[in-house]
Formats: sequence, C-alpha cells, structure tokens
Amino acid sequence: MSMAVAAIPISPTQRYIRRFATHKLGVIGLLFLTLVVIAAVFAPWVAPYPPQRILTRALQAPSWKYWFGTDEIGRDVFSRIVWGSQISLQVVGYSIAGAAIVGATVGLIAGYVGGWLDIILMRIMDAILAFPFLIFALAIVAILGPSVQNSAIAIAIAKSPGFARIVRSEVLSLRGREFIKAAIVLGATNQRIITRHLWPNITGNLIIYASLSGSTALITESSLSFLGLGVRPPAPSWGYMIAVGMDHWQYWWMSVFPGLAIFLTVLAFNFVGDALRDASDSKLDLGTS
Amino acid sequence: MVKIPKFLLSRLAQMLPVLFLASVIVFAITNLLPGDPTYALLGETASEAERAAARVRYGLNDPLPVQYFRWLTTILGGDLGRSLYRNQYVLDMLIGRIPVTLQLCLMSITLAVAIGVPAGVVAAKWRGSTADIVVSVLSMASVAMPFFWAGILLIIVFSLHLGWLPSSGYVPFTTDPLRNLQLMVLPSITIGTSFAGLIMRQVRGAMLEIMSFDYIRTARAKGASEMRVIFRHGLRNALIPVITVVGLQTGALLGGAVVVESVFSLPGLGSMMIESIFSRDYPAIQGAVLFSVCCVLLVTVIVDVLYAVVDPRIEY
Repeated sequence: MSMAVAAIPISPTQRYIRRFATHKLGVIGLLFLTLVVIAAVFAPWVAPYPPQRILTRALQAPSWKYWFGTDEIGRDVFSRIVWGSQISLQVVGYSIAGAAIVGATVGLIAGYVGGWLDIILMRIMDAILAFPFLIFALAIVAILGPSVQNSAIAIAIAKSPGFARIVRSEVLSLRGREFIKAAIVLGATNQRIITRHLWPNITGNLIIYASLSGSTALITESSLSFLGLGVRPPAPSWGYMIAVGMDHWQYWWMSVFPGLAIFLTVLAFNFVGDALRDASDSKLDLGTS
Repeated sequence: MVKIPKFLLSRLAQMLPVLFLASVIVFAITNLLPGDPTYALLGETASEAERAAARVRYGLNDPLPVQYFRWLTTILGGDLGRSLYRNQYVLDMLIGRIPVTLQLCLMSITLAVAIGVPAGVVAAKWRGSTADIVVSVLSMASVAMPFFWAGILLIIVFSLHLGWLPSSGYVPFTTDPLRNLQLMVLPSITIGTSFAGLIMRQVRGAMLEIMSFDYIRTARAKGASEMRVIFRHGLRNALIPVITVVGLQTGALLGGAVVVESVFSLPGLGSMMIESIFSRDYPAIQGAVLFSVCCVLLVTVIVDVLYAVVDPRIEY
C-alpha cells in the first residue's frame, strides 16, 4: 500500500480515490463488477439470444455460434448467464441494502442510547449470529416459501447483525470524541448529532463491509437457487443452472460456466472490499464470513 | 488446571442467554410468520372443523408465550417432536444423521489444517517470493469458490474423467471402512480446501507479525536452528489465531455441509434439512436448526478452553 505523496494538498476523497487506484486487484474487481452490472442492465442487447428460446439441438458443446454451449433443451448458456446476472445482482443489491438499513438502525440506537436497550438489541443480534448463516437463510426461506424476493429477505435478516455490530462499535468509539462532546455542549439535538456528526464518520466502514458482504450474499443466493429454494425455473439463475448441469455430467459447460460467473463476481466483490479497506486505513477485519 | 472447570461453568452460563434467544428465534420463525400451522399438520385437504380440532389439541389458540414455554419444556426434556413426514422421532432422525456430518466436518478440518498451516508458514517465511504469491492467489480463489461448484468440478475431473473416486453415495464406516473413505474424500476436499485458504491467510498474517518480535531475535541469537525458531517459537504462537478461525467457522462448516451433502448425496444433517424443507416437515426443520445452533455455541466454548490449553498465559 503506497501513500500518494503530493506537495499540493488534496481532499480526503481525492486521496481515497488515488489510494484505491494503486490497488491493482481492486481496480480489476471494480472493472469486472461494472461489466457485470452493464451486462445485467443491457441484457437484451448484450445476450446474443433470448434466454428462454430453444434455438437448436440440446447439449451442444461450446462453439463460435454458442460460446458457452447449449443446455439440456437447446437454449444458449451464455445468454442465460447474462440474463441470470440480473437476478443475482438484484438479490445481492436488495439484501445488502436491507441488511445495511436494519443493521445500521439497530447499531445506531444500541450505541447511542446504550443501557438496557443496547444489551437487549445486541444480544438479539448475537443470537442471530449464532445460527449458521446459510442454515438461517434456509429456515426463513423454508417458512416464507421459495422465491427470489424471499431469498433476499432471508439474506438481509441473516446479514444485518454484522452491520449492527460495526455501526455500534463505531458509535461507541466516536461518542467519547471531542467533536461529539463539543456538539453536545453547543446544544445540538440528538437528530443533528446523529445525522451530521456520527453518520458521516460511519459510512466509510459501512461501505467496505457492504462490499465484502456482497460476496457472502451472492454465494448464499446461488446456494439457495442451487438447492431449488431461490429462483423459480424457467427464469435463469446461476445457481439453478449449475443444479441442472449436475444432471448432465458429461456436458461440463452447463455447470462450469455459470459457476465461473459466480466465482469471478465473488472474487471481484472481495477485491473491491479489500481495496476500499486498504485505501481508508480502516482496521475493519471481518474475514470473509 | 483447577481453574478450568470453574471458568467452563461461567462460560456455559454466559452462553445461556444467547441460547435462550436463539430458541425464541427458532420458535418465532416457525410460529410467527404467515401461514396456518394446521396446513403443515394436516395437509391441504383437511376440513375447517378438523383444523379447529387440531388447534385445540395442539394448543395453537393459547397465547404465544404460553406456547413457547410449553415447546421449550418438551425440548428440554429431550423431546424434539415427531416428524410430520416420516414415522420417526426428530431426535432419532438427528442421531441417525449426525455421524455422517460429523465425519465430513472432521475430515474437512483435518485437511484444511494439514494444507493451510504449512502453506501459511511457507508464505510467511519467503514473503514476496513466487511461493508466497502462488499460495496467496490460491487461498483467495479457494475462499471465493462456492462449495457446490467446487464439488461439481471435482466430480467432473476425478470421477468422470479420471475415474479415480466415486462421485456420490454413502456407506457407513463400520460397514466398509475403505469404501466409506473413498466416498468421503471428494466432499472433504471440497470443504477442506476452502477452509485451508482461510487458515493459510491467518497463519501467514500471524507468522509475519510474530517473527518480528524480540523473542524470535533472541532465539536466533542463542543459535537455535531456523526450524526450531519457526516451529517452536513462531508457529506455536501463531496457532492461537488459527484456533479462532477454525472455531468461528463452525457455522460456515455446517452451512457448507448442507450444500456439499446435497451435491454428493450424503445422508447427513444438511440433506435432512433440505428434505424436511421440501416436505414441509416443520418439527424436523426446527430440530435440525436448533441442533446446529447448539453446535456453534458449544464450539465457541471449546475454543475458549483450547486457548488456555495452547497458551498457558491465558487465565480466566
């Protein structure tokens, strides 16, 4: 990690961007994620064929015409992967946003109000964290019923304690700092302290954690789809495509390419998260779970 | 040594509130969410009168706290209820499935430690070398691979193309030890390599930090061989974070088992969950989820005890 040494003073945002830019893997990850987002948004134009159309003979090996081969009923695997990115990114986006909103709210209240409320809220978060992540998500999907929306809800609930813990610990460490005490002495309202003084100092770590959580969310979403508890067929989803590919062992392209899409996107989320963390000097260490 | 039991008791006592809340969550998931439980009990075809009778019989009209404590007392008595789908007690189902998952988890962890620890030591010892880069890239890759995909790749390569190992199925160890191991190798590699990546990263980080400490310099100055410095003085202290990582990953391990058992058709706890979800067997789902939470909490306590064993300086 090299520091951008400059004679002219630069803004913290500029410094942040410069440091991020020196992190090669982070830049590669960001480029790849941009590519995936473009593929998802412009799927009708990016994908060579419609995802549900039966084009040709089933189970054809990859060729110039069908880059990733065709599936068990003759649909283009590449086109289905492109369309599948829509579902995967939607679930990741909604679940992380949901987890961040719920988790940050709980963390802010617990850290700022403290006392009994803090103890009760955080013990509930601990209890959720005690559940194996995937098993918790499975249990929720089992009860709500399998669907894209419900897997996003399940992942959001399972992921929110992580956000709550980070925000709470940030609030606790900020609360004792002088600028917060100064704001209190100056008679700032709670609302003003939270929105103007605490929140801007928390968002950095929140974004890093959100990026690292993207990989967990994607793996969980595709695991749920793989197990048949996410997307309903015939809608294309990476995890479900792999599950179908499992019934057709000899035709390796059916499971290898969708898996590659998941693998590379997860790597990209991790790279971006690591680069953001390095660029910000944050000591956030949350591993990959 | 006298201190440990007392400390153990206090750790177990601290665990109780979390366990209590976890049981509330398990109860809440299956009781508060939308959906009439009588559909699960009686199926879709039962009449309204039958449903009303079932509600009275199972106490479903009582206030929820009353229902919760009734449920909790039966569970504490060791009665996890009967499966709605199979003519079996949930506890018996669990007992039948646990050995498979336990074997999978133990083999995976053993493999992960056997790969991850040496790889981490090598990467730290020759920091910045080709070996370090290769090991670091592999560890990043192994962590980003979804279990189900890694498992399928292994099956395609080692069963389909090379024909070295069977692709799926299960035989108990007591029936045919060799066949059992053959069948468990690929599933264990699937989970094990992923955790090896995590362990490697931890060992590398911890070793790099520890090898810069004064006592390492002292050991070298005394003329200790490099092997002795690395293993006796370095690795021994680096093992503490490794224990943490392994301990914290129990949940991920059990979650991984769900997916891997489904890929390799192993009749463990994970496939019990999936089967129960598809057959809407709520008592079985509840039992399996509750059991997995207890495992996670128990391992966190064991990890704390292991700290004290590995590092005599730690006192509670």
